Amino acid sequence: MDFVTFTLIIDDIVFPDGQTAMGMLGGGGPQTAFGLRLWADAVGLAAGVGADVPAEALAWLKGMGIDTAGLRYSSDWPTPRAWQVCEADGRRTQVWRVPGPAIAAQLGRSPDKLPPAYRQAKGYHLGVHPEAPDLDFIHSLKKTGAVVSVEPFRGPEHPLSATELHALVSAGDIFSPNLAEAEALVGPADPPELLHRLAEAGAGIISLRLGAKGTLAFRADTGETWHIPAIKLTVTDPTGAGNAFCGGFLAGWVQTQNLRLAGLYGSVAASFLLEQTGLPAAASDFRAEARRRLARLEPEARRLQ
Amino acid sequence: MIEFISIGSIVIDDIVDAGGRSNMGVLGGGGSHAAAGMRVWSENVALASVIGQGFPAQAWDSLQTMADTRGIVRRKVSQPRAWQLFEADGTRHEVFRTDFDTFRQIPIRPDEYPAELAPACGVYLQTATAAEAIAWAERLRQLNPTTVLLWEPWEIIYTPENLAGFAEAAAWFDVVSPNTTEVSWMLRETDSVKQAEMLLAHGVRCVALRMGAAGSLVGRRGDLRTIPAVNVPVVDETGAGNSYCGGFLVGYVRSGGEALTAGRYGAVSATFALAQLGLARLRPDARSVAEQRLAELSQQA
Repeated sequence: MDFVTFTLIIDDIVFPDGQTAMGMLGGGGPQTAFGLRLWADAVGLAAGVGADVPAEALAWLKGMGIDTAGLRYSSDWPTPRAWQVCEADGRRTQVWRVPGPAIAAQLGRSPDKLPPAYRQAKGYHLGVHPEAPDLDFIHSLKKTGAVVSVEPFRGPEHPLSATELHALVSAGDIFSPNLAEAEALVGPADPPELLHRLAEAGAGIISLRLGAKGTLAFRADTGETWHIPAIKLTVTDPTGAGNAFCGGFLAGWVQTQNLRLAGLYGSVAASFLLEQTGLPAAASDFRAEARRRLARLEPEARRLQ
Repeated sequence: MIEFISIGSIVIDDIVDAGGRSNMGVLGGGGSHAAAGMRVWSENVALASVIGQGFPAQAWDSLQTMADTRGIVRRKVSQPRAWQLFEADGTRHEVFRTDFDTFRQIPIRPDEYPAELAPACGVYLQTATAAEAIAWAERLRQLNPTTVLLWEPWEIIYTPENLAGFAEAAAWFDVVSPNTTEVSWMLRETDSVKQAEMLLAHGVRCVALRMGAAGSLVGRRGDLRTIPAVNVPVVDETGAGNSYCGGFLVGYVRSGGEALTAGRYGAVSATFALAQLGLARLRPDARSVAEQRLAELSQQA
């Protein structure tokens, strides 16, 4: 296994007009796995599920060629499932549909829950709660020598101390917040200043995701900074684009050690998530399309420093 | 002529069932549900409340079908609106779509209440604070000294610090109707009988303590009676408590203040709320179904 990502939640999405999309693959893991799979062959998803995991969800993973040996089936708990209630102004409220103990049991991560092949991966990506970032697990992944990429699920619920902030942003090799999350962590500022503050706090490689304005990719050791634009297209639903970006970025960095290419791989991966609600239908030839988008986007990347 | 008045909130509910089927723009809120509970027994019901901008036409039709609307005040704020997400076991998740604090700040005020509604025999009042309850009681009593007043305090009142204010307000009302879970936060007592006795000792003249599927505990000092819940298939518990209060008020007025009879009316009104998602829409035979359930409940005693 070359790349492993985590977390599967079944989303029941409620739109502002009352339309619903039930039983969608969510939680970030499938989206990140998609972003990885565009550029890598051996991608696995490690997550806790129940016997109730929808057949369509498994079929999509299989259709995408994402390895499911990392799915742990629990006989005690259902698959994590939540309402995702969307408002026209972009507000999104998650309401769990399974009991608290099921969430804790199914979303819990530890090295011994991974199949042996998953412990040989070259790269891992995981989402964390900023105030409880699963540091032991991240450190255990780093000890394998792999590249570890970390994304906050959201801004912190309370301001982090300098120690907590350092532990969070330096836990992995790559730290990837969006603009709101970065501002919640280090205070409002323009994006280059946010990079500076995150680097001061101990981040190594940063991809700061700015939505339609693209991404800033940054290395603290050299100061190298790139602006990678977003691919211009009509956005149907931005949900999951950030997770897919992180998958593409990780694959690009591990494969090329090139910050610009990593950002481009990420931006291309994100673009596929924007074009429909939920994940793109499996089976079409995404690799060829990803290469075409990469070629179109490549001239637009700008080195800032 | 208007017999019964409900003064309480109107919220627009967007209901989604466990399978993802939605029913948008449904009339809801405590005031609406209490009026629906009165409407089971009386044609002459009015609702005094606030509505905002963007009020759905379909909900306005439901409102006008159910109640006299002379007491409805329009405000220049977004109409309070909430998702009601249901699980297969009846669990409900409420997600406010408009600003919840705005919602709390805009209730109808006593000075906005039309005097032409004053001759009514009974008034249901839902408030978020004891001070508002007192202001309302003063106004309503001034307009009509013989109106029966029933107070349903909103759940946020029930903190231990609010006990003194609660007791002061309760003395103004003929009936006060809390539910057992909410009142346990204020009294630090979970036993329903003890709760009822404590409430009566704190100035409540007649208590209608709602206990969900366990029924209700009603009466005055030294004379508390348990009324079982009517056994009907439960689709949605939303509004059952408000609807009970509306029914209780009707029964109380019609029986000349008998808590036992009133509680039975309340229990029957609640069944109509329980049987449907959202506000109880009454079928033409609702009155005879209600009378039959009332008769059955009376025989059980």
